[in-house]
Amino acid sequence: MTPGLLGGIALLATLVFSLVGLVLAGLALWAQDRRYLEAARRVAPMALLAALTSFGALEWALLTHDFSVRYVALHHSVKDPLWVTLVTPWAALEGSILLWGTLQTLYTWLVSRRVDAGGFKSASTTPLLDPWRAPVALGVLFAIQVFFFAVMVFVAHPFDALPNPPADGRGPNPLLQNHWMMAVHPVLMYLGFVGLSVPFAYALSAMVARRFQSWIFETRWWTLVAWGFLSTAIFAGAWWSYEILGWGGYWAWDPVENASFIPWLLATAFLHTTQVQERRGMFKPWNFAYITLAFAATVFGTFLTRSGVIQSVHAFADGPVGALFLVFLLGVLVVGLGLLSKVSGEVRDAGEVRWKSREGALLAGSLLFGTMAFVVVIGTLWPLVVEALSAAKVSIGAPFFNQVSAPMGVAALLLMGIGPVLPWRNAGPQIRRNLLLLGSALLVGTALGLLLRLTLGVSLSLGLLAYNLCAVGVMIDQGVKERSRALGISRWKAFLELASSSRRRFGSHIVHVGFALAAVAIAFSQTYRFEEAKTLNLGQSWQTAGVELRLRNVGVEDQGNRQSVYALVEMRAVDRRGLWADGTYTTRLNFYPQMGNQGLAAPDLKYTLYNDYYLILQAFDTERGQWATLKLVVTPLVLWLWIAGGIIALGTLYILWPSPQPQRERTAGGATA
Amino acid sequence: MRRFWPLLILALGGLFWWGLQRPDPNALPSVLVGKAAPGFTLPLLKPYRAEWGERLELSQQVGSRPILVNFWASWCLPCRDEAPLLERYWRHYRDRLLIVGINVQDSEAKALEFIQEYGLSFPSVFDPKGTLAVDYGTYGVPETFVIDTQGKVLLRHAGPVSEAALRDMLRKVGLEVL
Amino acid sequence: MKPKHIIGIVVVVGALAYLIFGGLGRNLVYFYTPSECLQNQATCQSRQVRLGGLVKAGTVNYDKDTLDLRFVVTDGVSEFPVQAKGTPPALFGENRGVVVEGRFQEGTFVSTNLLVKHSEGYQAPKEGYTPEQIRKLIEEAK
Repeated sequence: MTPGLLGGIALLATLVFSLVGLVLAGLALWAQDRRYLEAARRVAPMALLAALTSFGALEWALLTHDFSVRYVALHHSVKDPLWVTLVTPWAALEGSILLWGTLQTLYTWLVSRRVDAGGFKSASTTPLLDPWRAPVALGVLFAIQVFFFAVMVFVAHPFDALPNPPADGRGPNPLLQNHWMMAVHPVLMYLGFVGLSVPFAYALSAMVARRFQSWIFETRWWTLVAWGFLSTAIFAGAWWSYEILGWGGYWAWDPVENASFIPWLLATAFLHTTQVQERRGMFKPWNFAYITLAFAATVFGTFLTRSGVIQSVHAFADGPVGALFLVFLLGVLVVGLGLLSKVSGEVRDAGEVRWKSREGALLAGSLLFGTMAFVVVIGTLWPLVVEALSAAKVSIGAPFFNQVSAPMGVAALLLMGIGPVLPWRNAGPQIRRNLLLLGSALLVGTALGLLLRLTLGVSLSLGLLAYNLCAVGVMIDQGVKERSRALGISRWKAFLELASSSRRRFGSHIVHVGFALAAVAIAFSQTYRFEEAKTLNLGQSWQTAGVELRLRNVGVEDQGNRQSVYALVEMRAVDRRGLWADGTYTTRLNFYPQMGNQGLAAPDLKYTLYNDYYLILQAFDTERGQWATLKLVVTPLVLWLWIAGGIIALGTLYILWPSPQPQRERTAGGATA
Repeated sequence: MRRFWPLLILALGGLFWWGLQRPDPNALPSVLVGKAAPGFTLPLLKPYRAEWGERLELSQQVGSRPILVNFWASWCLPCRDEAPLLERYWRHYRDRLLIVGINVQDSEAKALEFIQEYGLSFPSVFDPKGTLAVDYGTYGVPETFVIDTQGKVLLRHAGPVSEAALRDMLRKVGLEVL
Repeated sequence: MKPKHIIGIVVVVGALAYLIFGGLGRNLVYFYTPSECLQNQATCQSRQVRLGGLVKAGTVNYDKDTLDLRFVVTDGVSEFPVQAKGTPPALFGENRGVVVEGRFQEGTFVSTNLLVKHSEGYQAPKEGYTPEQIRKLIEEAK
């Protein structure tokens, strides 16, 4: 048995199991027979097992350097370090589809465990997936699996054989093996993408079974998990880009970045409107539309990046995969929106929305995120539209996205603070005091920034942070006061009780503060970035941006899979602008055999709570090692962006952390009441 | 909105479909297309000397039939896909089309090994320094140029040639393709 | 719906449409080859564009101390002098594809961004100097 053979068989088996599951789910729906449903449920773990086997086979092929597998020959080399070998499955197209498909089988299996195959008795109040919706939900998930595994079996086979295997392969794209983040970022991203398929499947089943309310509670956990993974993946990707791409930035509005951002924006919009449906039974059509679009956006992203339809630095080679993803994308949209327009007459909202209320703010916020998603889609596709209409080749630069997203970001931060302070249904005059507090926090923060001679935008971001902190403070203060008065306990005890019982509220506060902090970091780092390049001889010094650099040495190290040329630089602060810059920096250019004389920069950077000192080796004396061209990038507060990402992840985790007491029933009951 | 969304999806689908069909937006057009192909006289690799002589001169081959020039190397994985395909078409079309391989940036021993492995019978010349690749302005290997009977470059193809692309090339030089 | 609301919605949608489509129009960067640039002189010479072509042989001039890079970009028919700042990328070289983004200043294209065109998948493992050569050269120097 070779890895290629095992993988191929397991792949085919997964496809067959998924097809069987799909057919059984269809039969269960058509015949309303629970035996079919039970059978479909049992197919899910088999598909998972088969998918895991084929994923394992790919790892096996990589670990044993089996170059008769084309994927291994193209993306692996015997010189690769172990961790690079282990993450090579998602270094290229076929392998990442396999990872995606395998994660999908995992999620399908998890959902299948929620299926109530006990009987078609009545509309039960259990959190299980009732037998009217279960066939559709499972069927949708199996259909998604069928798509992924059919793509692999028929066009992008990860175990395609190479008739005359070479002795050694080329290894993965060096960009991907230059940083350990490569091991993490794609997996987080796919976990998020796949996570959205579950609420999508539940939504479709809800529309088919015409039970428009309960799916929102049941998928709450899934939505938040998917959202958490997407958020973390975006921060991780930005960090990877900052540390690796060697230009000292973390976000360039590249189509690949946009492809991960669009699903996140739509998932964020969805997350917020679901709160309203949970609480007040409103915005049902919005939720169906948002989850369809969010799931479609995950497919759209893959289509964009894999088809080469848009110019992108990341784009993989084209092939029929792009066209297949296009068909899948259109299929998702047609099914989701088609079902919605069919049932939209029945999906009636109870009551009317007032803007001056929690639900009004949530709707405005979700509209804002929806619009932002539209802006990113339009900006990404505009070059294609222009080319289709006028044959002119154009590109849309980052300035467009920055210009549009800045005011929208400010609006989102404003809503984020005020929304949770507003009461449900209708805000009365009692909130005036709070609004006044929030408004003054905003003004004081902004004024403080202006006094420090910061630009208006940066000052505004500080004001918005103060405003959001104030909002959170007001809310916690109110809750604690009420509780301590009602139960006659100390405020401190009331706070602790509240923090552990209303995890969702507290967690969302944490996440919101994280975003306000991220906004400050973005505003500072985008506004006060400094960069300059210079060629230095050995021993020569260079004063700039409050620091003095001295080139100590230029040399080269053999690191097995690469040659690493380094420049040793001493840096010390000469005035306040160079705070905490002191240290020895080793900035590198790594040469991989498969990239010839094209070096890949591995910048050295020092994070401080204030400035980041980012040093790039751009060129060096190849003859005698006597000089090096260095580029220094000094960016303030970038570290705070990663801290903010951590806060957001922790806040999400805080909400998801299982409660000691059965909170689920309680809040679910409270919400429907 | 309820009535318009199918139109929107249709428009989106149409746009993407068109986007997939158009030629690679990243490719720069070759400067050489429509111009005389850079000439060369290069040593043939050993297996071909009996039939073609010590050296192959492009100008002597121009005229009787169109020429397909293929840059390859033994270290190049996509070339392994191409080699059997080119060999098959060479056997079938050898009276009507000349296929010339240019082995670039390679060692002679490895090149010969590669030729033997795939049983290549179309002539290949040896250009270890890749100077011809510079003359032709190639992006890398493999890359294919088609030269018409007037000695002008008719088209260039960067990257491995698929069977469909090869048939398309043959049609463009006026060969009948089954 | 009250007229007040309708006005509000129209204002918001109008502002958004202006922000988005106005922004798209202002930030559109055209891609031209030198010949196309000559044909569309009005747009090409007056705004931010991308110019794509080959680096003309014998025109590259780079000063490592001032980081000034000058060369001529050509498509075989027309050509323009280009001026850029910074170390040229490793794959930059004569007769190689290049895309520069920037604008014209007095007949010279001043580039703010320089991209080398290449198909990453098909690069030769050894071009120019090899890492081994670099290593040897540096070690010999010590």
